[in-house]
Amino acid sequence: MNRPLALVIEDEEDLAAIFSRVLDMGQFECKAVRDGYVALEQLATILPDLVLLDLHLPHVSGVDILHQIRASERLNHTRVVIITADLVKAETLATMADAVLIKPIRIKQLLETVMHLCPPDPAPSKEL
Amino acid sequence: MERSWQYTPYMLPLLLSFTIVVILAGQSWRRRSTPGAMSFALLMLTIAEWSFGYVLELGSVDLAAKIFWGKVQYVGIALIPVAWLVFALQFTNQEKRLTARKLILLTILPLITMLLIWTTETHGLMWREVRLDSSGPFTTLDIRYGSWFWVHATFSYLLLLLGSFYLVSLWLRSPHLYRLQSGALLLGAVAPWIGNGLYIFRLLPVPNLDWTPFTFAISGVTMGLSLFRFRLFDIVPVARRAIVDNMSDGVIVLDLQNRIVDINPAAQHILHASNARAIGQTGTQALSHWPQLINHYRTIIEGRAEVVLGRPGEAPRYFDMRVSPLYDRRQNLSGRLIVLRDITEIKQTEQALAEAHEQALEASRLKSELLARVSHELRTPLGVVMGFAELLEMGIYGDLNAEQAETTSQIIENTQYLSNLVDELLDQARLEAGKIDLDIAPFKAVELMAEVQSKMEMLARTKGLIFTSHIAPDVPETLLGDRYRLRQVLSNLVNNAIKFTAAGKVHLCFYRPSPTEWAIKVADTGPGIPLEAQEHIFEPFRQVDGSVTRKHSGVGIGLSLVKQLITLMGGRITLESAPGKGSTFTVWLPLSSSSTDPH
Repeated sequence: MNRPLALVIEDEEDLAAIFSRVLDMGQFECKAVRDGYVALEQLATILPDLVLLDLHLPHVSGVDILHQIRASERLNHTRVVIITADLVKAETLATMADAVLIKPIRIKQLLETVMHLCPPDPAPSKEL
Repeated sequence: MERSWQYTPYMLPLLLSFTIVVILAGQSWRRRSTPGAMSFALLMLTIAEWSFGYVLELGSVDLAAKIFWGKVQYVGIALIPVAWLVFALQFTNQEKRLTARKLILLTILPLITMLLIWTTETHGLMWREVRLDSSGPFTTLDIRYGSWFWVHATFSYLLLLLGSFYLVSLWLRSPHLYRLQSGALLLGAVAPWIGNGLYIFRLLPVPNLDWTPFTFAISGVTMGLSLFRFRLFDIVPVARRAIVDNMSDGVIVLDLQNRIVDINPAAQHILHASNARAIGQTGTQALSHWPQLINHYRTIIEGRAEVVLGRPGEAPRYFDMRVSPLYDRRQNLSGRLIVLRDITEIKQTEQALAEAHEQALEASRLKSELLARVSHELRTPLGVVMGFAELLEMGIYGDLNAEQAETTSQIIENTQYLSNLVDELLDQARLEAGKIDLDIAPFKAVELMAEVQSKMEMLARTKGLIFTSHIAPDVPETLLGDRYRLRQVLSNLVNNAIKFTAAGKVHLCFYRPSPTEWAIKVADTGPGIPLEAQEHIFEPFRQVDGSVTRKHSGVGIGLSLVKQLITLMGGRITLESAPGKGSTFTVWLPLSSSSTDPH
């Protein structure tokens, strides 16, 4: 069965691990990167259904990545969830993203959000 | 034929002058509190006495009577020079030269003269020889004077000269604008000299007629004119000197040619100029050190400016400079008045205040920034703790026994508390930094109520409390406001109510207290808040008391934040509470015009 692909862009290793774990529970195939530049390299080669995007990243900021995604024809089906502690930036970017979650986030909240954005195939998935 | 009385045409002006000086004496006596007025009254009285005696001397026919009245006049004659000098000194504000000792010394000679005139027949020191002169149209006394008379005359002339000297020098020093007043005074000062000169050098048609009383009367009239017409005593120069010279503001009077005609000591001090140097100079010359001042005053007729005056090596001083036009009696511009008021202290205070204010703002900004940064930095690790704890709780890392599940749940609960705390701190920081903007949009009252209800009902139930809610029918279905912030406010208030209430119920209600307002009421059956605590309850970091803080979690920032948010929304929050009677918080919010009525 083809699992949807998610890219986690988060420089905080522990958070990236938690997010990956949650996405795994949501039946996503998951990749995680901790650097903005590496994230752009990945986005050039893979076609994720979902991107979890932190805004404060080394080398290339999450804001720039979001702009690149939205400017890309190839990625126009990709759903972007911003996960940040920066309320101000989050507010200004709210319209460009599919969802904005403010850190610290609750797992239930994250799970609900991603399942809502990328609903699983009609085929019944494993129990959460 | 024995006549005892004769009429001469000269008696009429003498009587007139007598009347005038008596009136003047009375008038100035009434103003005796004014400097110079008392000595003026005295001067007028001495002239009156002389005139009175002289009228009777002229009117008498026989020698004995004439001699008697001639002697009577010497009270006035001897005292006039003293009175004249005292008046001149007082009027020109030089009375400090006049000590009591000097005054006594000055009266010694006149007293001797008065004594000698009454005894002159025995020694001839005043009058060597007196005879009746009937050669003229009427009889007069023809007197050959004795040696003391010339002492008296010299002394008198010296005093008169001195007095006139002061008056003339006052006239010369007088600002152009006051010339008319002091000119009248000058005429008064000079007239007796002319009259007495004519008498001494026998240049008059009637040689033995002394014109001096007439001329003193002229003096009296001109001075009286100054006194009443030009209000001499009121304005010039004594009062003016006293006020202007002693005031701390610098006063400069410029004529139409921009020459300094008057400058008071304060202005001299301010401009480092001496009176002698400054007067008569053009303003530009005298103020050459202060080009800025010149630029300000040169063309302005009326105005106000702030000028900074400072010489190299001196701290600059700030002055409030006011320029006003001066008009003569015909309303023609005759000069300008410049008043310089030292406002350096005020300026320094202003600057210190501004700096303190700036520092306070900066400190507040730094605090807000720090708070925001700390809050932000706290979120990430809190997120990690929360995430792992939740994964743990979900059994991702294996099944938990009851104790492990309970511990994990406590970790999550406390992390959630810390997380809320960070949120509030951040909100507080953003509010203080003015960074919170309301997101105003229409929303349904029912939906807002439902959101709060769903969150709070369970919380109330776990504490065994009853939670009820109600929306009054006249509250518009759709309201306008920041729904997110309103929810924050409501959650905070209801959460507090549940937190502090041990038993009973918490009631939430929306209603419409007036056509222009809607209100949110949160009432509980909790312990109530004592009156003295109520006034501080909306201040940041306050709770009712320390013990409550320990018992009930929370840092006390909530209500302060609530109040600030409500204020930002244009509303207000009130509290009704008493110990043992529960608490009711009411939030009053304006109903916006776009709120639609249910009907």
